[in-house]
Amino acid sequence: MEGAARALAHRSLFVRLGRWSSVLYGLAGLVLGFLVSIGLGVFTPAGAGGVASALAGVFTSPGSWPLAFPYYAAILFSAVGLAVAYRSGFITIGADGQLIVGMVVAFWLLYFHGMGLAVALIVAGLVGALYGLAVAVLRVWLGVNETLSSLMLNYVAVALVNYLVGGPWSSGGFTKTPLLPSSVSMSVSSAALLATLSAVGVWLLYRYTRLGVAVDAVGGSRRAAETYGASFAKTILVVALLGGFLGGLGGAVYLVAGQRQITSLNIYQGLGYGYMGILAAWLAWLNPLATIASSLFIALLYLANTGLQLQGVPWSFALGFQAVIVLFVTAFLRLSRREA
Amino acid sequence: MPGGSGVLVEARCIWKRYPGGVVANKCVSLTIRRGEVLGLLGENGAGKTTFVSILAGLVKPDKGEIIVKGQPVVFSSPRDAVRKGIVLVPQNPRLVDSFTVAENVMLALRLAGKAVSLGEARRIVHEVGERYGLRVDPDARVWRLSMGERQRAEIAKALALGAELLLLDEPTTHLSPKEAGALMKLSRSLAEESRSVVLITHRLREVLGVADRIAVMRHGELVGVVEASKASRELLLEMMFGERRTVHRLSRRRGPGSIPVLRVHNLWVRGEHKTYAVRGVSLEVREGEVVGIAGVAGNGQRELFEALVGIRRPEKGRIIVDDADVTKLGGAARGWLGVAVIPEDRLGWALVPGRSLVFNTALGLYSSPRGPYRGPLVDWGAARRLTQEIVEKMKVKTSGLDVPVESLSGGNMQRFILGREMAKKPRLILAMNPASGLDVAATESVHRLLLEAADNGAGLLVISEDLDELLEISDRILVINRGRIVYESSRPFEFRKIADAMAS
Repeated sequence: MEGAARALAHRSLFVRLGRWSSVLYGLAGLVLGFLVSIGLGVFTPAGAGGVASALAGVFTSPGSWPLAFPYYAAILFSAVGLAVAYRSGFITIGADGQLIVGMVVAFWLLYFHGMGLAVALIVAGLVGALYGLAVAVLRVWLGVNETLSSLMLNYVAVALVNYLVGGPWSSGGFTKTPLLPSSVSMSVSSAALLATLSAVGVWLLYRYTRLGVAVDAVGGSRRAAETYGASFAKTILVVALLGGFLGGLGGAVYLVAGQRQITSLNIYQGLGYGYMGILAAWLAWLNPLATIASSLFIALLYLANTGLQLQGVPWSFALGFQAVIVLFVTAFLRLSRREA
Repeated sequence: MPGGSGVLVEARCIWKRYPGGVVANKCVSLTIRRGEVLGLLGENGAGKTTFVSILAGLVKPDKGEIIVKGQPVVFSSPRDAVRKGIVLVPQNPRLVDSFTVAENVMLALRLAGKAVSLGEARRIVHEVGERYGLRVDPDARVWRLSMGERQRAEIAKALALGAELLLLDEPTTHLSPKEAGALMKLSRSLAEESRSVVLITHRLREVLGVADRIAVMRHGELVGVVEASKASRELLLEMMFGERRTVHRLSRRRGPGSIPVLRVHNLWVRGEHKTYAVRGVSLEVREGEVVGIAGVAGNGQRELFEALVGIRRPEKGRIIVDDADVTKLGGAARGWLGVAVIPEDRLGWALVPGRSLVFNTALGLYSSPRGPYRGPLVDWGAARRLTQEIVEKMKVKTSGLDVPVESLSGGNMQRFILGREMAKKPRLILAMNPASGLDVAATESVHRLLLEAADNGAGLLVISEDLDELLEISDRILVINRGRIVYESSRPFEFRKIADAMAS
């Protein structure tokens, strides 16, 4: 009796909140995620207090945010392409590999051939697009699972980088390339702006062109889509090309505005931002516009965690915090939908 | 007969009503004797599969008793039925594709409570194969097997489970005539060793050749049981279909024109498992003409529909809409030519679940010249207005245009789908089972709308399992059987001939 009354009261509160209830649920998840992460901090050298102050520090001082812009750009370029891909049911995890390939191509053009920045960015994007196309072609014509093939291509990209930095591109015998010349530059703000504009562009494509309808149709029911003329094959190919281009471009932007050189990578971690892009895409509930906010959020979390690394917290914990927070937020958002 | 040795299983007054009101079985009482082959005949929806599922423990009856070998039983799962020796061999084999035949048998035995090793399972499959001439390789992976082989595997599995009563649901659907003949011989061999076989089928010739007795169901009731020796085709057809009054047709303003909108030449389409589901079908639909394709489900209708719609490529033959050859083209070409599609499954095929009515309007008209598009751009304002028009014109009951489409009831969904397709002002309408699951009033309005479209000059091809529906609205009826058109007739329709063609 009591339980029923409480449940009814809860329902009516929910009804009154209406659409904003999802936001509140999301925020509740966020708070809980933060608390759990801070709690997990007791297992780290920084302690729960250290984790709490690092997180608080980053989020409450916007002046420090530009430090995260290179990460933001890399993550957003990945996330927005993935958001569209996942909507169509094409579950690729190849963004990280595309970022890497973009970095490699851009470095090659900028350092060894003195190409202009714009040219390097575009070519990096095109190569990234080809990298993404490979996964799509395998899926459409041979039925190869895109999650597996894109992951394998990620490993290939890492292997390529490790070969280059260990051999022909090595600087001074170390496993890293030389830095880009100072004549080649892009401010972190420009990088962030470019990424944001690209995300808006993707959103416009999704919202106002046939591609958006096709993507949602193919993702919702392939049979319905094909019956009424939205081709599965064409949609997947376009989505893969788009995501690949953005990934390649993102890698190039990250190189120029952020890292300025290429270092060796761990095969399972890769560059990392492509995988964070997956989290950002789901956190945004696959809404291309919302990936702007979710990518910034994940980038800031990452910034806080790099700070924590200086206090001895291992890199894996950093990813763990991100994951915990995303887990709670998405779980709560899911709960809010189920109520509706 | 108290514990009589003659009777294996007795069903007493079985009732089953499904949610939604459909009464599938109305006090069905039937005895199955030891060592007999019993044919179970009936139209689509007569209740045969439900009845047999109840016997096999898959479905629980609302009322009634089942008595096995003189003992009343209650099955809470198929496992109980298997323990009593009753095994169902379903119409579509339910085997694990990645396992071998022997592994499937081993799995089945384990699930029934008899643990055997793989080696023993292989031996059983061999033995069963030898004894009954059931050629099936125990080490073959199921996904490589043809339909006939899979079915033999299913039967081997049933026999391995020690079945005394085998319930075969439409077993010859996917078999060639030769394989069907072998199956009939197998049924007789089983009967000779005192096992019983119930054969659900709609194919009179088969059942007359092999059964000892034949039971006929209609609209959920058991119409009667006759000795096969006393049964004739005419008698069985009458029992299956009953006395049919001349079905009145809904009035039409105009009749068919002379220009064909759809021409199909010698179409061959493969189904699942590489066999041909459509074998050399040719037909024509003219402007303003309603052509109905009748047939028992599983005779190639789905594959034909998918080929016409453009989502399944034919192997041979041509499909021509107006003057355009669309055989190798997809849904986009058809949409552009003014083809409207009303598929069988509302949610999942005609409509994308999880998305709004407005979205589904936009998708439905994706390729139509009348769609809410300007080149590559989507005009959502136009899409909304169009959706609003559809909802008003068709009186769709919905709480809004942006609600997910699955919040609509079945009837409202169908009204929406029809309205959307009509908004294309189509030249040709391809519909499959357009009134399935709808009540009498909704069915009537669907039919009236379809005829209105025909009056406006559209050609209509309706593939349906509901013969009454086709009798009401069609100008011509074709019957499809085993992938071929075996009968064609204009009005006035001779019911018996149509039923006969369906049931051969």
